Amino acid sequence: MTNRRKAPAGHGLIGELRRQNGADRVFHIVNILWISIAGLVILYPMLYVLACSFSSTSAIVEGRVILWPVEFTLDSYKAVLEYNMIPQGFVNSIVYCLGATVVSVMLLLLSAYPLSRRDLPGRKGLTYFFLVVMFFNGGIIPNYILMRNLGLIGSRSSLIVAFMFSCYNMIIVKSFFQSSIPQSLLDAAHIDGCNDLQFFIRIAIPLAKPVIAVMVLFNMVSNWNGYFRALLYLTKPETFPLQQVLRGILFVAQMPPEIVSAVGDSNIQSLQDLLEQLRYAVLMVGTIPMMLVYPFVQKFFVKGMMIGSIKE
Amino acid sequence: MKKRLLAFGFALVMLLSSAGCGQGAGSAADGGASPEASASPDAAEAPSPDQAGEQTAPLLSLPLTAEEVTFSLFIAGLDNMTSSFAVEDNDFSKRILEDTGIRLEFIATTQADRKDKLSVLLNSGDYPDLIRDNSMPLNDVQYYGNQGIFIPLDDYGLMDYPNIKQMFDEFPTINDAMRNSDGKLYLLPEVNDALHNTYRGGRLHYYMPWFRDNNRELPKTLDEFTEYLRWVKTGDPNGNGKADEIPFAFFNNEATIKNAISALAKPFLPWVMTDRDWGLAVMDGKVTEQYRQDEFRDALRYMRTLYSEGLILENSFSIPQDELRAIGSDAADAKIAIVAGFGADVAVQRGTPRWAEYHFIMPPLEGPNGDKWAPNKDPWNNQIPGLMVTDKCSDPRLAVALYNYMIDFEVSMDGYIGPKGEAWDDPDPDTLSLRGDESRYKLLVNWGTQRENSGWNQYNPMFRNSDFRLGEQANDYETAEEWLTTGNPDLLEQVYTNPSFNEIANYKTALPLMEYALPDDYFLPPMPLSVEDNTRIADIKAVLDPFKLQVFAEFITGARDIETGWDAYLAELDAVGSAEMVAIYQQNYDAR
Repeated sequence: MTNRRKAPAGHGLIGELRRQNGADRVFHIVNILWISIAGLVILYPMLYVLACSFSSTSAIVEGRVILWPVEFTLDSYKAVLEYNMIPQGFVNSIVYCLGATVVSVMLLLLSAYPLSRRDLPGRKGLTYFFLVVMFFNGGIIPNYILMRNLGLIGSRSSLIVAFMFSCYNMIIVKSFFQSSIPQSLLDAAHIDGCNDLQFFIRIAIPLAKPVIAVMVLFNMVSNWNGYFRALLYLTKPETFPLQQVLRGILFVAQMPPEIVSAVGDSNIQSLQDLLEQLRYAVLMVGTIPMMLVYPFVQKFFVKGMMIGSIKE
Repeated sequence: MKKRLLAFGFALVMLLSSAGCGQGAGSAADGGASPEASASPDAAEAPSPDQAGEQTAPLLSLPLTAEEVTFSLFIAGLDNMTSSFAVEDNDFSKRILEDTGIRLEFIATTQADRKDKLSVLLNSGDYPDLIRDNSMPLNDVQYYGNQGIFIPLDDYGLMDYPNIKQMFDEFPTINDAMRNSDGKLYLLPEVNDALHNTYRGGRLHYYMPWFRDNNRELPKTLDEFTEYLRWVKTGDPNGNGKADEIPFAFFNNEATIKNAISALAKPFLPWVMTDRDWGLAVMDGKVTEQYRQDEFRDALRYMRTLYSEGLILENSFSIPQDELRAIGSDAADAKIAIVAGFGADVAVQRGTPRWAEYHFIMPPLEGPNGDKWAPNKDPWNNQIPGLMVTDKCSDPRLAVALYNYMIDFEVSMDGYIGPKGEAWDDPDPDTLSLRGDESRYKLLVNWGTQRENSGWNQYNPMFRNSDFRLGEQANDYETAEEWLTTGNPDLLEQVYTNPSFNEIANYKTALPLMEYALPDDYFLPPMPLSVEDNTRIADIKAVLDPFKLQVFAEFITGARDIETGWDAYLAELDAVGSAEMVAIYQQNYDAR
């Protein structure tokens, strides 16, 4: 015991382990091992896809790619760039993703903050209004008809409008405001001569940074990955987002026989050959933007997920 | 083309006088009026058939309309070769506008989104004038026809249009396969009688060099086949000193598993496999569940024997195609003797030397009762919906004329691959086609290398009888043929790099099978069912199809015992409604 106490405390993992007693240490080591294995299991497929995207098709088919690129080539990235719909879709996806996220976060804050204020007249009724709409929405066809009547079918803005507001997210933001901005803060601000708008902009929004980060991430991920509304509302190929284009490409690989017989064989074959070449590069192109964003918002993300788990 | 599109001077006048006839067609949706009368106001105004015929004189001279008319068209098939159908971007759409005066506006989507997109359009009421969906089931056509969304087209003088008439003349079964239960045609049919539709269900591709290099005869009977599989397992045909050969393999794709089981069932009974049905045949006018028969039980017993002897790749039911290809493409040695699948590329990458060595189809094997059956060709599979005209179309007659124009050989070639002179051309004199006779056209570019948006990349309607696909001028037909008959290894280099080889081989290897083809009347024809029947059958099939697949796999792998578990299996078939499904089919079959 004395020995251990004399040892330099040290920093980091080793020091941490040294400070702990036996049972804790065993638990920690097992924990770290287990998490490392889980991490590897998750990491390996990504590395494999990365390696495959730089390998020759024949090396992939023959199963020679394990961790590093075999017969290094940039052909598949070249094929991705030459497939006009992919770069175009990439740009579209970024536009939709950013556009919908910005609009959506603004609307969330503007609706959630008032609803979080106890002194809002008719607050209960408004909350129910949001809840009812959330639980009982019209479904695909009425939404489609709404979009058509708004004249948005086929236009890019349809995707931004369609993803404009999520009631579920609004409730998260509202609970955040309720739990993290105490009434006393508002009272103090009022005494200092701050009006509601100033309080919202200068105090509430800066305090809400974590939940804003979470909402940004939520929105970006769902917008980036979504294809279904694009499928419904878009009619021109130059407006298709990346995921819709990718779905089209990957679909050909597992083309059901009834379609193969309807579409020509040579057509399918040339598409499948192409697919063989670019599928891994395309996966990378589809994944990397989100992987780049994630580390920056990750610390807020964990915090944000806990919002609403404790009631005041 | 000009030869076919005979000038009918008064057609234009007729068109102008009948402008707006689509208005009347719209009233079919309102119900009430007799569908026939409301479908075509021409017919309503002139009850006498003669007069009606006169009124709908065919529009054959170009342009089809003097004033530009806009039709909206739903089409699926965006990809790297056709990233846009729009008139501004696409040469073929532009040609249509210039030739006919019809401007097409597109609601375009990818093949993946086709079904979802179309059902939203149709159900929300926001659908275009024309709908192109090759894969729409006849029952859906019937459903939308009953709703008045699709309009019947018989009244628009289909037989006056030479290209449409030729299609009906060559394929009269269209009338059985494509008409709704009210006897009317709610679609313009398309024919695609290509080789990949031929002899699909139950194909076995074998690795030819092992026969060639070991002087082995191709098996003629099931016993010889089994004996060959056993020899592969023990005889080290790849000569690497290791017992790493796989006698028989397939992969986890549903259609591929069905194909494998069908192939091994063929020596026992005339097993039917189509894209729609599996093990359902018409025998002497009776819709028959072949998967109930004792012969099929024997077939399963046989497959069980192969599996238990280790002659079938153990994880064939679960291995993904990528992994099977990795085994088959092993750089050092060939590993797989026989693969069950729809092409030579099931277990090996396309366009490689070994791919050419798998381009050989196992001949029909004689089973215990002396029968031999070839992989079957679905006689109904070559007719598909080409174009549906909706009640929103302002001028259905013009739509029919447009269709006749589009399926004209020269026009459709432009949509198929690109403009004449750039992507295709007349054949060189004295050259052979893919089937070794006089060629009809030649391609100037290989598939997948045509200029982007120079055509519709095969998504245009076409009339493809077998003369069409096989009429392509072949590249080095003689060498391909020699390879397929002699397997001379010196030719391999020339063969696998030949872009025509795949089709030549498909044709050549299918020819000897024709003798043992199942009779066409064994196949259940497509029948438009009532909504109730259709729903019931869809419900039953949703359970029955995966159930069959699972139980057969269990019988083969031994998870279920064929001897003790057979009666329980038959009882389960009844429980999931197999017999009821057959009764519905039988009733509809008799009522045809």
